[in-house]
Amino acid sequence: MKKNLIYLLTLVSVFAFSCKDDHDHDKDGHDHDHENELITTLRVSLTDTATGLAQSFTWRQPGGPGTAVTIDTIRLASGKFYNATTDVLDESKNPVKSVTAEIEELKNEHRFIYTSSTSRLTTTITDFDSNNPPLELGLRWNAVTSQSGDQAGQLRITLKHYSASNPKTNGPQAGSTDIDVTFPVIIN
Amino acid sequence: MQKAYIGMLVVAFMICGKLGAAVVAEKYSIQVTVLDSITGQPLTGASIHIEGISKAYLTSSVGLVNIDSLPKGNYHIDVVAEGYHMHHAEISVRRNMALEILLCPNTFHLHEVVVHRKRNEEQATLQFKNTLNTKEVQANRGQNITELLMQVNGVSAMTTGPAISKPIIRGLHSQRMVMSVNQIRLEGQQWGAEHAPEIDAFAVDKVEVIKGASSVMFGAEAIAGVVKVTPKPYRQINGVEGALSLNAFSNNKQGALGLLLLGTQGKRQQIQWRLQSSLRKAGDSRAPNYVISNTGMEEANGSVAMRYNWNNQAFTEITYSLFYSKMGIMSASHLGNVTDLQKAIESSQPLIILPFTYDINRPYQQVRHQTVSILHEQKFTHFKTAFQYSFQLNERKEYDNDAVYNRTLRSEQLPAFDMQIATQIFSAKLTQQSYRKFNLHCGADIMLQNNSVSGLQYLIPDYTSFSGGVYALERREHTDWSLDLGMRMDYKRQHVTHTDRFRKIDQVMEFLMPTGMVTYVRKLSAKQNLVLNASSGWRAPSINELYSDGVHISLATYEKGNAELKPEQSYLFDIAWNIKTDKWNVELSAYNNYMHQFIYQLPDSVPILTIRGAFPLLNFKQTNANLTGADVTVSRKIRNDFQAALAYSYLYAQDVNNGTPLIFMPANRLRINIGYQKAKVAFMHQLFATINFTHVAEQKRYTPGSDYMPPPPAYQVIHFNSGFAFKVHQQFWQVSFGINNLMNQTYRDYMSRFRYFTDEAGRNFILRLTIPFNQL
Repeated sequence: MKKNLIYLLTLVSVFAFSCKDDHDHDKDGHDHDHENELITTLRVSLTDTATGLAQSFTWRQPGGPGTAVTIDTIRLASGKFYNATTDVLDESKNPVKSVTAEIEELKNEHRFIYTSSTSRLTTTITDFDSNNPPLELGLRWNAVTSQSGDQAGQLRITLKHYSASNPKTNGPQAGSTDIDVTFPVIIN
Repeated sequence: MQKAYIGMLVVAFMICGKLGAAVVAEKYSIQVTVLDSITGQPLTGASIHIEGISKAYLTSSVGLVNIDSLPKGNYHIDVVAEGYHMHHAEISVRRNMALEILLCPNTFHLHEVVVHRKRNEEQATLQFKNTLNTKEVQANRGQNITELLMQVNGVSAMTTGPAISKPIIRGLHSQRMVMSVNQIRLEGQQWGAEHAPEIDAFAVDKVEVIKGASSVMFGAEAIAGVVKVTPKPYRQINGVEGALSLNAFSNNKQGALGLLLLGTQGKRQQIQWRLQSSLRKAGDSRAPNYVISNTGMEEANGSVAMRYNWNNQAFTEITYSLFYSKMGIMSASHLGNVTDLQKAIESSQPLIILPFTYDINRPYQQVRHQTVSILHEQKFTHFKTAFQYSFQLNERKEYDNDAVYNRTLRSEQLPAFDMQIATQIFSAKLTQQSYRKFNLHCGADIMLQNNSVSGLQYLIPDYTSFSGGVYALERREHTDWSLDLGMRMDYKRQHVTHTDRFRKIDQVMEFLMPTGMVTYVRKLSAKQNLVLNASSGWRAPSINELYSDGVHISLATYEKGNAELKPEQSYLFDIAWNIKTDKWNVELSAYNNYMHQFIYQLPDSVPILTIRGAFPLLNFKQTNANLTGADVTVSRKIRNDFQAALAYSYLYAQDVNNGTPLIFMPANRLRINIGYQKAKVAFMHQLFATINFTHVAEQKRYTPGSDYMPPPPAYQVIHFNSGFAFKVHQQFWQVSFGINNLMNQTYRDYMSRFRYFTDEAGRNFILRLTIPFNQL
């Protein structure tokens, strides 16, 4: 019986020792350096070909998903022709990172889609990928404003991302959506 | 180790005297086999007392005893073995017969003792039970452990494509369930609905499902129940044995191979060891009309265990196991936003269908789980102690579909989520060995966890947690009733320290909660039992419920944790009745599980806006809920070799506060088995063939608008299984052939997280072969 007691006591002390020892694991030595790139901002820049006047408008969520959003209203004049470009940025980083060049590089995997709700604004994509026949990319495009149609409307810009299993050649609606934003538009 | 007892008992029975005077009458002999009801291992030195006969019989090293010259008549027998509940039975001796008696170990769970004629044992594969033994596991081994568990009535599966599957017990799963592997509680990222348990299907020798709150024995989180997985027991006599198992599945062209080796050495069998390993490789699964692309998987597992028996009273065991798995996630399920999801739902088939391949592409999961443990058990005159330390490291990497834009990140091939959780558990147990009608079982557990995350996206934070519990269980036993009482107190402290660019969390949470249980078992007659059980359980809110914050890709939802959540509590009342006759075996079980502060996800009326578009916002909320249900199994022997069985499980889950149904609860399910069994036909031994018909009702209990699409309609599937053993060089090789989804039925299941995108897998031919070998 005495032996049993000693045996129990020994194990209890091992038990107690283990608890103390294990508390040292209570530390957070982990870094989070490999933070994903974050797309926070989509910027469209429009240049009036007649006057050379350049304007840019942004859709911006610098704090990441779910945080505050600021959206510019795209204000254009009727009866104009604009050369436009689209940029995709990560503004949560300092300095700001642009992923536009990478989209350009992976042009066979991407495509922008521009959808205007008003017939007063029409868009045409002017750059293409290296597929044969070439397919639209959409970093560069033209906007034409007419004299008729609703003055106020929306421009929805979608960036589709295609993969080997769901290639761009399957059509614009294939792939998954990386960006889907809507700008208010006013054309005077 | 058991030799000492035999000696003791033999001495005891020598004193008892000799057999009473022989009666001149018809005499028969009965052969009795005594087995452990959980492991199925023969029990050596169990004593059998027959009323009116002053002699006891002891079982041999193979658990066998022959009782000769018993006059015709009815007898009461008691079967006693050290460490097991005594079993009382009434037998009728009319002819020579063989009996098999299963004794329930003194480990305080709620399954009754089973006695049946040996003839019935062959039909075991046809019945619906809570425990699956070696033979049943071998004949039903599937592509993962969940497929095996679904043999148990009341268990269904939650799937994320054909490769990922986890069990649901009576409507509850994941963080509400404990899985215990070789007595170690499996700790990974089990809160995730698409995180399958890290258990090698080949390492399973026996499996038991304990339904209902089992928190007293297994600690917090065991609200839904416990899945207890036991590996193959060690060899009892010196030598080496083993088995090679080969499984093939036609649907995804899967091949799996398992090797098991057992050995025992030493003059007193001091060294016992087990070596086990398995490999598995599967390609894409196939629905009746198309390939479900990127649903292949691969697994490589291994384990080693060694036990040293110091003497008859003590042993030390060391184990190590490794589980590795890479599982493809259906390509068409990874979506950018709600528009993509709507498009996927509107399409009658997945938007991405590619030719069959074994390749696993993004998105996929890769999991490695390692466990080391050391166990020391010591027996004393009236009690037994066990001390166990275990360390588990679970590494989970989830790779997204979307390649990142950044060149450096792209070249690094980093996972979106990379979670590493280390768990240490120390447990101490004391079990009293049936002393003066008392059985006390008490213990303490301590668990330490450290979770650290990296990866490209935020899912859950880093944290450390400490939990400790003490418990005591007492069983009082009489001939026709038994009463179990259990109490437990748990403490948990969780410290979340997480800093990244977007969040800084530093929060400590503490919980201190009692749990209790009481079980009363009443033997209504030799054939009927009534079990009444009341138990409580609780769990602290899981890490994702508290802190998740981000888009769930395959469900196109934004999940937001709630750091204000309180613990969830379960109050369960369960009543079970069973009757066993020569022909009938009926089990009725009804329960009501009241869940106080049940944690669930509620869609917010305002969606959350991101640059990818708007997502429905799901907030974690608490309500009071009631899960009421019943599990019924009825089996009937039609002839000696034919049997029919029926199992029905019913569940009614209601949010009591809001008067609405709880969503994502399994639909009611009816299964009918018709089976044929024969001990020997030509060269085939233990031949069996079963047809299983499963009907899953439509889940009508859901709130319209709470889901992207209504629950799928009811469906029926038919499965076929058959098998036999045949003798090759004195060994019984076992072969089994089955066809799942025999009619190649097209259907979708409500508990499949991919029901929006794809039909379930179609017809699957399954071939299993087990080749045993002895004495290498």
